[in-house]
Amino acid sequence: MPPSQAELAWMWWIPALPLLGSVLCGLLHFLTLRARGAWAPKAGGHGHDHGDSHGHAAAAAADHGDDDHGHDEHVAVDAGIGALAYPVAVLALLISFVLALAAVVQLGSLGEHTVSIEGPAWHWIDTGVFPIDISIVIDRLSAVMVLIVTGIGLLIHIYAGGYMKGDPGFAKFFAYLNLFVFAMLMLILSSSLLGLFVGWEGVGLCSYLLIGFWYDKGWPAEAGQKAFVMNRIGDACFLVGSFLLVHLFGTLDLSDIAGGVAAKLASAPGAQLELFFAGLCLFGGACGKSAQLPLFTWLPDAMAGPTPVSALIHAATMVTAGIYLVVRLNPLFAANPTLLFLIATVGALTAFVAGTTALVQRDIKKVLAYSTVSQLGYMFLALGTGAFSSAIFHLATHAFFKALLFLGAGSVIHGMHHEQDMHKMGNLRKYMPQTFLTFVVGAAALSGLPLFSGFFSKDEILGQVFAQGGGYYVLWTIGLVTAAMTAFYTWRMVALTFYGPERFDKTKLHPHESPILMTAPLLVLAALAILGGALSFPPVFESFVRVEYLHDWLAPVTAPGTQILEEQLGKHELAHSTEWILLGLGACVALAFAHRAFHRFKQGTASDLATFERSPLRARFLFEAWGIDAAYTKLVVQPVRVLALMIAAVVDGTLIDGFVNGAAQAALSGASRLRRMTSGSIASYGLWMGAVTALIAILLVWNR
Amino acid sequence: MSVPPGHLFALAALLFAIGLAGFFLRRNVIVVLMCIELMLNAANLTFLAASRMHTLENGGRPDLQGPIFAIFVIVVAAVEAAVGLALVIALYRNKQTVSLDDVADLKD
Repeated sequence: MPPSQAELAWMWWIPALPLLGSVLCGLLHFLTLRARGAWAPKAGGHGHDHGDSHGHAAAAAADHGDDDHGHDEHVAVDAGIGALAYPVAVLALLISFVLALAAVVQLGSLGEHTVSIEGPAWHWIDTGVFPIDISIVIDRLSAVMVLIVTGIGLLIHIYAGGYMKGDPGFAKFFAYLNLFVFAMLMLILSSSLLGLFVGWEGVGLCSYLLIGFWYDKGWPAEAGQKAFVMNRIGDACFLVGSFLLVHLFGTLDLSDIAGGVAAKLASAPGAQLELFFAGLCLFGGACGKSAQLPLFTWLPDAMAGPTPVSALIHAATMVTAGIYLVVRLNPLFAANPTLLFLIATVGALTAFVAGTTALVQRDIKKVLAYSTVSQLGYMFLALGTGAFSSAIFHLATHAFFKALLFLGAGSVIHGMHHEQDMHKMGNLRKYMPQTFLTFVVGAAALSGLPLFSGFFSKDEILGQVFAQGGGYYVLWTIGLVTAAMTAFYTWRMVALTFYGPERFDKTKLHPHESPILMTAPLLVLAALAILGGALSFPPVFESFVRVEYLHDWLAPVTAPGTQILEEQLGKHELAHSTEWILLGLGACVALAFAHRAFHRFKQGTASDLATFERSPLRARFLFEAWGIDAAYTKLVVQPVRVLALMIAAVVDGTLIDGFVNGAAQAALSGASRLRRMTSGSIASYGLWMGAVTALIAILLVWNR
Repeated sequence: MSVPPGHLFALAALLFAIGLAGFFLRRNVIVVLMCIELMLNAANLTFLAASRMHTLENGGRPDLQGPIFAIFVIVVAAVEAAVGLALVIALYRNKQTVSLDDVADLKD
């Protein structure tokens, strides 16, 4: 049932608006730079009509924080005409959000049988043999994603207006942020794997740009490069995977691939192995983007970027691209149980490793970063169980509460004048009550306290894993332990930040609540974090509540994969009694560990310091994420450096330099011989001329 | 009445040899230019002699290629003489000399 022509046309506007906004913001940034160069080379304070009094107050507040962390010092600068970037960016995203909402409502109203609304196709590449048409498609999966990206993106944009106030790169920041949203929307809405890849690389680029946003401090630039390089490894896998898919299916159209897997399995039994490798490669790409076990080390470093970036890119949207990819091509992954189990294992291990690391971090953003890695691990665990809609459910709730927590942490950091060490905070609930309240809501959701959104999504995943049985019991145990750790580190963070003695110098530091621009998005997100669970209640709630809304909504998308799975492994469903027990167990574990952590760290940092004193080696091991970074340095970075030095010496120094210098030497010596011909005597020139003419004449006669 | 072409060729060769020798041996620019002129005219004479030889071989039907070429050569020689003498004058103005030995400045 093709949708009418009118609604096809404006689909383009959903990604196009953020792109337009990005271009405009970029333009504004250049104008700001020009203006700054012309009037005031240093910090602001020049009078003109764009600076409102509120902005000056915030800028001044950010200025007098005399903290000893030199790297976090900000020089407040009047954004000038660049301040216009804020309304431009927010407006672009707002319209985009409204359009997306309209498209999703349209899709919903078309009923079960219409799987997607498609925009006009664009013939991007036409090689004759292998045409690539890209169009904008909204189906039920991208509907969920597009609402998360534009909706949460909008909230974070609004928040960023407060957070970035006074930054010299104010307009540039919004240009990057809008560009990111554009790339993310391309990733989600593209009908072709190649279009998805363009978005995939686009978000990687924006992530790099935004992690290194404060590049003049040095280490953010390095963190950005690290993220870029780590992602590049995954992207190489992704490319190989898509080549395999072209080889297998002769197309890059996502719905064709997803729809073709079952037929391929039936017609060519030998295709199983190729499908496995294609899936494996794509999963490798997903590991890079979604920070899974071998490639996750970039995400904690990515916290060098401004906090709204951490919330938007490194918690709510970009890092979920890997999960989106797997769900999008779910039949491909479902076709091979080994691959699924591998995904589940990687997910569970990542969740566990990152969870243990988050236990001992002192930097509030680092806790959240490792927590994000851990939660992404949960999502992969769900994918590996074949519970695709559960993964999307957790993705959605995680987007709500993790964005909330990051923005809350940003508010804390803002209020503490760029202090991120939790050991130097404490009792902040007195100073920033709104941030405190919303943060607690986010923490409750993350730790899976009953009836908050995270509780439902996490327990749905654990239930699905448990239902698979066999080797999945081990993964379930890991998942449950991780859930306990999640509750522990979350409430440790809350206790250290908002309770206990004030561990900062009150004469120098005056914590303050953030402006309304920042707290308003917090309140909206808090509401979502509480209510997000309603997207999908567990099946046992059947008797009193309409169930599994999200699951039903996604059914057309996940059906092909689920069908293949059921053919191979049979259907797994939990008895209601088991499900109640699991729910109860999850709730008890979360409550118990949350309670324990909260009471232990309410008193202060003593318990934390004791951990480090009792067994410094173990604490160090956990603190440095199981030494994976160090192992990479030893096993990869250093050998590559040595190899590079060798290549520099041998290939570059001897071969290439030898060739280049040799050519120069030959020219020199040849020239010094040739110049003797210039004797200055006409007679000798005449002789040469005559001789050569004679030679030519002889040759001509000879060849006749 | 008619001189045999062989004699003409011999005369041309003699003239060319004199020109060549003068070109290599003399140092005065004007004399060198004159020698070049001499060689060009030796070539002209060869053209005419060859033309005459062909005319005789074809039974009196005139062969005009040689004379036409000779006219071209005369034109080119005139141009060459004009440019050459202009150069000599410029040289003399700058260096007060017309000896080739004194103008080997480009030599290292």
